[in-house]
Amino acid sequence: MPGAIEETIAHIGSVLLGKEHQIKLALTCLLSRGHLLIEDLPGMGKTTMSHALAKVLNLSYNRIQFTSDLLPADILGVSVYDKDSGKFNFHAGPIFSQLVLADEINRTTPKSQSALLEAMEERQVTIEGQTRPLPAPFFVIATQNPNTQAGTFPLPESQLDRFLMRIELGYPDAVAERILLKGEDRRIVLGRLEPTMNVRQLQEFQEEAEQVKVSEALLDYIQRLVQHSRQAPEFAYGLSPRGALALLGCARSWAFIENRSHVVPEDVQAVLPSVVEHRLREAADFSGHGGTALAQRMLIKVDVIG
Amino acid sequence: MTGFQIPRNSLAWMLVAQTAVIAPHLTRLLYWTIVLCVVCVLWRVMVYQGRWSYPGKWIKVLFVVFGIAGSIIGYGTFLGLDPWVGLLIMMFVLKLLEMHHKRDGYVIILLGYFVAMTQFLYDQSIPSTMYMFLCVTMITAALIGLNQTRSHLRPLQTFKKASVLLMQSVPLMVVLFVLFPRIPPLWTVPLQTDMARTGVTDTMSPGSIALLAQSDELAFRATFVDEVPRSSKLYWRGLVLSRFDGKSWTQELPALYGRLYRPGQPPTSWQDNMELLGEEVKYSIMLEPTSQNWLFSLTMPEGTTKEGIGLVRDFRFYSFREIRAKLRYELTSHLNYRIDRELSDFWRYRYTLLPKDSNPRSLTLAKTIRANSLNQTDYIRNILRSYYLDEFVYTLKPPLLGDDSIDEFLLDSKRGFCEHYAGSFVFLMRAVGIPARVVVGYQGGEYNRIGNYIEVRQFDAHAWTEVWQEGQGWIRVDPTSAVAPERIESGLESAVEDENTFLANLPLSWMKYRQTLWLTEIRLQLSAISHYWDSWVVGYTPSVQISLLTKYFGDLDRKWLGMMMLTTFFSLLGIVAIFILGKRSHKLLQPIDREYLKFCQLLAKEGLPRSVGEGPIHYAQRIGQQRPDLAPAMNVVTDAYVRMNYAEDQPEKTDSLRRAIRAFRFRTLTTVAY
Repeated sequence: MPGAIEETIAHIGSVLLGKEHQIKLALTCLLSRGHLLIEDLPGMGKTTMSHALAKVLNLSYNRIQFTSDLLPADILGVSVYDKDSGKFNFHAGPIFSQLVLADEINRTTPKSQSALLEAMEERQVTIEGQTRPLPAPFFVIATQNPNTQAGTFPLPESQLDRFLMRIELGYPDAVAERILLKGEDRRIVLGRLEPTMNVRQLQEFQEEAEQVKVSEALLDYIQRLVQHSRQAPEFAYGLSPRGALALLGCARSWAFIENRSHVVPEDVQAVLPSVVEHRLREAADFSGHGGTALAQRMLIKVDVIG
Repeated sequence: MTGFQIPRNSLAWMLVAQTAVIAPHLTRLLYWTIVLCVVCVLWRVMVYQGRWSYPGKWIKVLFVVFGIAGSIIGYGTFLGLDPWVGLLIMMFVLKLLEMHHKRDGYVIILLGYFVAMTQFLYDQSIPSTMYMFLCVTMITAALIGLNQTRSHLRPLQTFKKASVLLMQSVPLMVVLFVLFPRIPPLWTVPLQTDMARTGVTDTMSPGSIALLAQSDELAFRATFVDEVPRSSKLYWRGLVLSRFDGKSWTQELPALYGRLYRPGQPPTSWQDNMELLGEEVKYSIMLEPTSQNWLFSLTMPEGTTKEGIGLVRDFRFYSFREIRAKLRYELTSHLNYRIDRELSDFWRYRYTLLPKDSNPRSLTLAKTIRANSLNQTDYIRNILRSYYLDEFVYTLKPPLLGDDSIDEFLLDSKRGFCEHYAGSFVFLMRAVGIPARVVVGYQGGEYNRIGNYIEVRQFDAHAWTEVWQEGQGWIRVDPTSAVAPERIESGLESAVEDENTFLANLPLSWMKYRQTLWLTEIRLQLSAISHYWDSWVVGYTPSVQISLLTKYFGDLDRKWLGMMMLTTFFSLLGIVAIFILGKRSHKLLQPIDREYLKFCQLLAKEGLPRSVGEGPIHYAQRIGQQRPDLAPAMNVVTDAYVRMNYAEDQPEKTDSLRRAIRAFRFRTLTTVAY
């Protein structure tokens, strides 16, 4: 593990206890230049994690709390008439920052959801005919409550696909929880966090991650995985080529974090659930769940060798 | 009862298939059996819909008892095929009311296959075979349906699957058909195919052949090796009738003929009486079943070598068994011949014998004409001329004749069919002491250029005569040709064209539309197909099989055949197996993967198999935890493999991995030792 990365993980880990794997996944997503969706119940540390990430990576940070009455302008920004100068001045919205936390994205209307998702995809915003680039790196962490909770607008499959990864934090284990209960307020710890790298360093890491070697044998394995999702009857539909690319990119970043110059099947397996779960649906389940089980089945059934 | 509910698809197909399988038997079934079938099917549907329940034990017993009793009364016998088929069908339908378990469904389906096969006891033609194929597909669909879950709601899908299955089995079917040793059955059921068969019989009375000529049924097909002789030469000799009782002609007493010539035996004394002249005509005949013993051949045939066929004293063929199935035999005939140049006094007596006091007027007539004739030849010519000059009429509707039939025909009605002319001619010959006899068989036939064969139907039945002349032996005289030469030249239809009686009772017969060219074309095509079917499928008898296989594989016996069949079967199975297994590893393994997998097998033998989805590093970690003693060597192998496979692009050289594995093997062997 490169020193800076190791340090980053340790720092975030001091705030978000016992979640090293999830932190690594979030970093993987970031290194792959993708956006992250965190899906979990309220109070599991979603916000804490994104805030900590922004702090240690030294990124400009904004948080948008998505509510049912949020409008696209509240995200993107608005031009206001300045009486003194007689001109319209653009007041940039919260999206103009390097790390945006879109909290509870599924509580707002599809219209506002789209505004965010478009910006994520294009990395620029067009307001009143003028195109404004978003800062680089641009990284969105969206959180959402599980779809079945009341008062939510579930994201459609096509929009879920915009997120490179979807992770769940889950309950902390007993040891971590005990430390949490005994220790200081996390907000104070968060305030004390020191950056571990700067933006340039982060961009260098991103480029390095793209250079990680992928062998023919590994591509074979990825293709077998994708093929399985397209052929096995329990899958409602298979993984798209974009899904396959996402899997490969994440596996590279994971290998980079693991300080390997090449990708091994275990890297693919480590990122696979986060990358494919939200892109899959079980044939027998029309509610959109079942991706978790499908990802596990892919891992078990597809031969790593051969 | 148990809660087994037969899947919808299966029940639907079962009922449809059952109906289809029983349908061809309908005309042979007792009407109450049909009622019973309908009741059972309706009852079963009601059970499926949950409106009725299964019948109680006593109702079922009642059904069975009444069914059997009804069959005994209805058929009057349990001999023969019909009663048993009827009983089988009855039980087949009754089983519907007893379908409590999946097993019962299987019983019905197996019975369905069986009932389908019984149809072949009655009819083995192409349409019937195609229909049975359809039935078998439907039964198979029912079988598939029985193994589908209830969520399969599309019966056509199931049928499609059954069709595919059946199609896949066709190659195996063909192989089994060709190679499976054909064993004669242990017992034979009297088949019903010969029922209601007409054909030339061994009694000829006025009107008998005219009656036969009403039928367009196939008698036989003759395939010629070379050119087909002209129609007027095609006299298919079947029987020689020489005993006359004043009204009908019958065969000579067999005892008087002496012994038959059987193939393989030393020649009989009378065989030398046959001189064959002229060119030979080679042909084979596929005879439809007649349930008689006589066979047809062009005059004059050489002896045959086919087993079960003998030559009779009057130079015609005789089958030792009744012909109950299609029979194919090959012959060589000579259209010019001389037989019985010498005739003993005994035979002269037999062939001039007439009943006493019968047909006195004809007797007088004969003597008058003989007195006016120079010699025997002149007499024969005069008689034939008088048929022509006295305006005799060739008709399919001859008037009924009394006891002195020849008198009435020759002097009163003068209307007759070939049997009248042949009968009266032989009578007139015998009346003046010329030995003569009636020959019956077929004359002419239709040439099918597609299959290159002659097709002879019942309306080609004919009677003619043979007259013995000093020094020449028996010569053929056909009095019909004097009256209606077109009968001999172009067949019955043109001979009776004027009176419009050709197949008058069969308005829809194909044969009536011979003028319509395209219909004729279709008919000839169908007939040719049917002929090939008869020759190669229905006619594929044990002897044909042996000779065919001998041709390709040299001499072989049953044992060899069985072995070959088994070999073929298992090699087919092997090919299928290879195909299935090959599918799993359709991609050839890279050498390095092969090495690594061998290594995994090594560990599997130690009880540490790699699971399918387990990557090499995780595997090594797991092994390391379970067997720390193996960990170092394991790690060496894993590192080598991972490095070569993932850090590089699968090099051809696998030496380092192989070396690591060898080291590992040495290590495990030593550790396992204690």
